[in-house]
Amino acid sequence: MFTVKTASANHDVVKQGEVATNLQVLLDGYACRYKITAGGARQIVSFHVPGDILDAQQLLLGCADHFVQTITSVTIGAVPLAEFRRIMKLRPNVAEALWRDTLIDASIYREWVLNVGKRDMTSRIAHMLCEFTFRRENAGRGPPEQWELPMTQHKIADATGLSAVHINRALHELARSGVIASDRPEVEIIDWLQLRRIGDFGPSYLHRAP
Amino acid sequence: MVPSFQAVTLDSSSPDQEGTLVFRDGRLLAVVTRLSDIHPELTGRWFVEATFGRVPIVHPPAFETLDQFEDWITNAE
Repeated sequence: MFTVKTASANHDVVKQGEVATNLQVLLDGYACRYKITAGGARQIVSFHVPGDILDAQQLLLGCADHFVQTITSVTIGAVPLAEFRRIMKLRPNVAEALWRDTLIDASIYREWVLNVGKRDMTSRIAHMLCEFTFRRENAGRGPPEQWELPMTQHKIADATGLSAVHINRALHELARSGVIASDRPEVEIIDWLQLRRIGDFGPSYLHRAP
Repeated sequence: MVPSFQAVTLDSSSPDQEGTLVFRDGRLLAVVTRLSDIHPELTGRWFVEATFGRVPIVHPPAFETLDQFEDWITNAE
């Protein structure tokens, strides 16, 4: 009942308007969730790391009201929705885990609204870098000090409500002040505590399991 | 009415400091900046920092020339 598939980068694995038949879990690679305006402008509303469920919404709601796109090539595990619903009824701990996952998602969205609405350019991007660093480390994808930034500047811009020019300026400013060394696509975090301070980042909203 | 331009130096925290104020009918319409070499793919282009008229998108593209920007802002409103 559990199938595994792969998808290339920049591929929509959830499409607005479609009715899903499987629950998809990201096993490897990175993805983003986004919505678009009638004029075609894109707002990325979350990034996803291995272990994330990509379309829990489909368990109880109708068709998808947004898109999920791969950032890198990915591996995705898929369980038929009907089968997953049956397991949830048989095993309350599975239903509870999914409920917890949904609540944490909501907490992350609240933080993103705060980030896009009330933090300045450099702080906003620093916060995004901190969250992604923290989550990829929790997903077992390596230590926070040095890693390859998988998303383009355009995707970072769409996630922070800024332009690619603003992203360049903020990364330049962070590099100039010695917080990061940016020689894209590699990002080296030189001063993790300072990056957290600039980004106003505290991980409590991620509700990491004790 | 054809826009007029006034060169200014921006007090920014980035190397993007060569700015231009864009006026129409004596009123400030937009602020654009000539992008420095920290933007490898956009160096020398004009970036729209702010507009005060009604434009349909939040972040317009960076323009190769001020003439292109003028065409865009004229048609965008």
